[in-house]
Amino acid sequence: MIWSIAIKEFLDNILNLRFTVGLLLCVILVFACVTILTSDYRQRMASHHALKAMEEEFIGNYAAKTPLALYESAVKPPGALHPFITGLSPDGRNNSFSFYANPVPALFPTLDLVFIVSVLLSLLAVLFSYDSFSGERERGTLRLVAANQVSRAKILAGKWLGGIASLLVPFFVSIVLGALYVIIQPDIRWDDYTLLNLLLVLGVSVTFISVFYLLGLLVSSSFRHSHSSLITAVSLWVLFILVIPSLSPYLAAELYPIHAQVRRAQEINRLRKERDEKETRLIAECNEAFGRKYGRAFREYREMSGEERQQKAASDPEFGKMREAYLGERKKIQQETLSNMQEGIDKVNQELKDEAEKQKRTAKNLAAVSPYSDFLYAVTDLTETGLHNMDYFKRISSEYENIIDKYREIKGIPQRLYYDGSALDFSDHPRFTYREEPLRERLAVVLPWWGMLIVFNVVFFAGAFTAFLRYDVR
Amino acid sequence: MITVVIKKEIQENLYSYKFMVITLLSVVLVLASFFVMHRDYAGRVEEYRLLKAEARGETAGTPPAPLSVFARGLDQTLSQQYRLLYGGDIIPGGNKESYNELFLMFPTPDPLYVVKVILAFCTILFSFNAVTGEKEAGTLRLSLSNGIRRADFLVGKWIGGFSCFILPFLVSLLLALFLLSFSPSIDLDFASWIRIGFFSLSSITYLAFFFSLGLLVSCLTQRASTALAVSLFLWVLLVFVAPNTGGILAAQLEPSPSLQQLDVKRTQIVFSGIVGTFEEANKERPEEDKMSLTVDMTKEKLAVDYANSLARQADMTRVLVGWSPPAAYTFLATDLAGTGLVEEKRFKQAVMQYSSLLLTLPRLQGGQGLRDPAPPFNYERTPLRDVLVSGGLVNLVVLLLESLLVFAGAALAFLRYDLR
Repeated sequence: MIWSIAIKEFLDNILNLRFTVGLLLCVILVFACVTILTSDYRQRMASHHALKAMEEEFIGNYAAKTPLALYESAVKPPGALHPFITGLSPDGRNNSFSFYANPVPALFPTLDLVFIVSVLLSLLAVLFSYDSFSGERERGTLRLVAANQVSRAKILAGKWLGGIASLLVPFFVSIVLGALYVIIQPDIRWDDYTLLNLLLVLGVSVTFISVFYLLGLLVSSSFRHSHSSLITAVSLWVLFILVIPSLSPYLAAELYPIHAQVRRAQEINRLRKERDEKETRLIAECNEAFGRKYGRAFREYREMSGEERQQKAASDPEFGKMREAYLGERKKIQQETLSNMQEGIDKVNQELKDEAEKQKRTAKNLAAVSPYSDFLYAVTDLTETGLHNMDYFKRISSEYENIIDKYREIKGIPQRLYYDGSALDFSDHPRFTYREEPLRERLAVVLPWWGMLIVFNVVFFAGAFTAFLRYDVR
Repeated sequence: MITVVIKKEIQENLYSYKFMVITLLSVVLVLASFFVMHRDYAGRVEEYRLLKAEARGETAGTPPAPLSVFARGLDQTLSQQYRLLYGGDIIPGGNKESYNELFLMFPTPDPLYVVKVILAFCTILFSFNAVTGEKEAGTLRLSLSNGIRRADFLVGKWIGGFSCFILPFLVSLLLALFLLSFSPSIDLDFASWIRIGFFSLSSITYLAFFFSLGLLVSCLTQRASTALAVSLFLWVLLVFVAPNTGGILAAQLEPSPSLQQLDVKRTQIVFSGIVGTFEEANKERPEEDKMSLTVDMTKEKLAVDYANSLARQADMTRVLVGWSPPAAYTFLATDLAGTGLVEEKRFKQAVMQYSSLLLTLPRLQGGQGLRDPAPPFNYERTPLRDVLVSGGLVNLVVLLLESLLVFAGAALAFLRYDLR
């Protein structure tokens, strides 16, 4: 019986004009997005290759002359699924802070599959389901169905299955067309791993679409008139998709404001001032000590220019020893005061980071009340274009910088702007190669959000069932 | 006769469930939006003031725009303190670690967003069944059998329906403005109130467009459910698809290198500067001043060229999407608030000019710091007259014309509408 109801619901939906309009819109939008984003993917890939070539050139031309050239930047190529999902950060970085950042995306974010599923398909789901019960009741067919000894649970389950199936037609048709378009491009290679990622994204998307179909069923089974259920269903859609996610970061900022930003600036200035004062004092003490020990020689040293000191040190070994000892002592003082200041700065930075993390975590959890946020987190983390990947990229970039520092130490490269490294061989210079985070680790991050979507499904289904049990079908 | 239709429309709406829900939604959202953006603005102003007091070295910045409460736009970028380093580099003064990236994931819930997306959606819900609903109820042919002209009937429906919708919005807007005027953090002068007036006018015109669109679709379809589906899909196309595709299309038509490519090219200039100078002078510490100036000016030219290519892309985006009411409304609202593309371009030019000026000033030996204090960076946001002349009025006229056009379309469609 469930299947008969499901088939009936499926046919009702696909023979409706709403379905035709939705199918057309879905196919056209997905195809247009994929086409434009494929072109964008090519541009980004070309830029990535150009960057790698430039950095090879640095190592080839400059590494033997300036230590700065050893530091090849960590760059992330665009993901294989970029033609479908751009996400928050295609290159793993937060570029919004840069003075030279492109301002247009801040006003008009790029369209991708996330938008199509989260706005268009969820709206379609609500439009298909808002009159499932109230509309049938108004037409008089609901009591006929219910009169046929069909349990209400089966009616609900059948409507849900049939409705979801009808929604998946435009979704899968457009995805398949989009995927075919990408696969036939000669310069884009998709392997099994990419297809697996895409399947997981589709799985999350189906779960998300189902949430809104069930929301529509819940509302429909709570109202007698389709007009009232329409207004309520779309209002809830507006709240979940457009309102709750946008308000969450601001609410989190009210609950956990970040004061450390200003405190940090004040503290850093205080630490710098303290360091300058301490260094001046210690150097003065050092000068006094050397003055007492070396007497006139040291006084003469203080009055000479840098070149004169070098020349005298070359001709007078005693003078040279004194100069070396003095410079060594000054360097020690500078390093000590710098290290103390840095410790203080690190502590303040950590405080700032902790406050920011707390606010971020709170905002994320508040936004998770909306299925849209859970969907967005899950899909962007799966495709390595979300917040989790930004942290991952920071981590592996930092590891790479440590590798370069060790490499520099091993090669014996000095801490100067310019040096003669013509005798050194840089063919073994470590290169940064972006490696994708293992799927297992990404799934560990994604599963809680996917789980939330499943919970929403269960809650809305239970709510619809409870409401429909008491529904007056006449 | 029109007044009778208006009265009937108002009465019907006032007693409807739809009116209650949508009014509640719009009032709550408008007030919540103003509250949230006001708190955000107050926080940013305080932070700007304190960070400016603590800033060391040469900096360039402008405080947050008071009218960013209405349209935050690009104010996050505009109101940062930028540090102008020795070497011509311009870096944000704030700390990236303190930024909550969730703000980037979701749209800003400012009044611009509420009107552009949510209220436009609500307007469609108000008007999609203006004609089809009456037809299905059987009252349409009854109304028109009474000797009322179709045009009068439609005008009456429009005025009655739209006034029911817009009144709660205006009341909540006025209430928000009243409360804002008492806020100690926001100082609104006469020019600001004029801008607010233009913002309100453009919001009403924008919502009128969507009301007319819903009415047009209602006059073109026979069933309310069909009208709803078509109206909502048009809303999706106009509000999200058309404006948001513009940026990426502009990037294809006017490509520019990536930010990382710019950074790497600037680094290359520094390397060749270092190596060239040391090798030429054949010393351990050559005259760094001479080395710096050549390197700095070359880097500066690169940055200026990059900024210009981005500006061309932004202009191309305006051309590609400026016809669409949501995009026209966004451009107008952000330009009025001083947080739009025009302001951003002007501000960046001012900062880069200031950076060029600093390069010409004499430095201490060793290049660290200026010998004498630099003149302070001064920046005034674009005056209202220039905002209106450089595209603001055009955007307002686009909104107005499109609203009239769509209404004219609705009237034409209704003249041939089958009432039975």
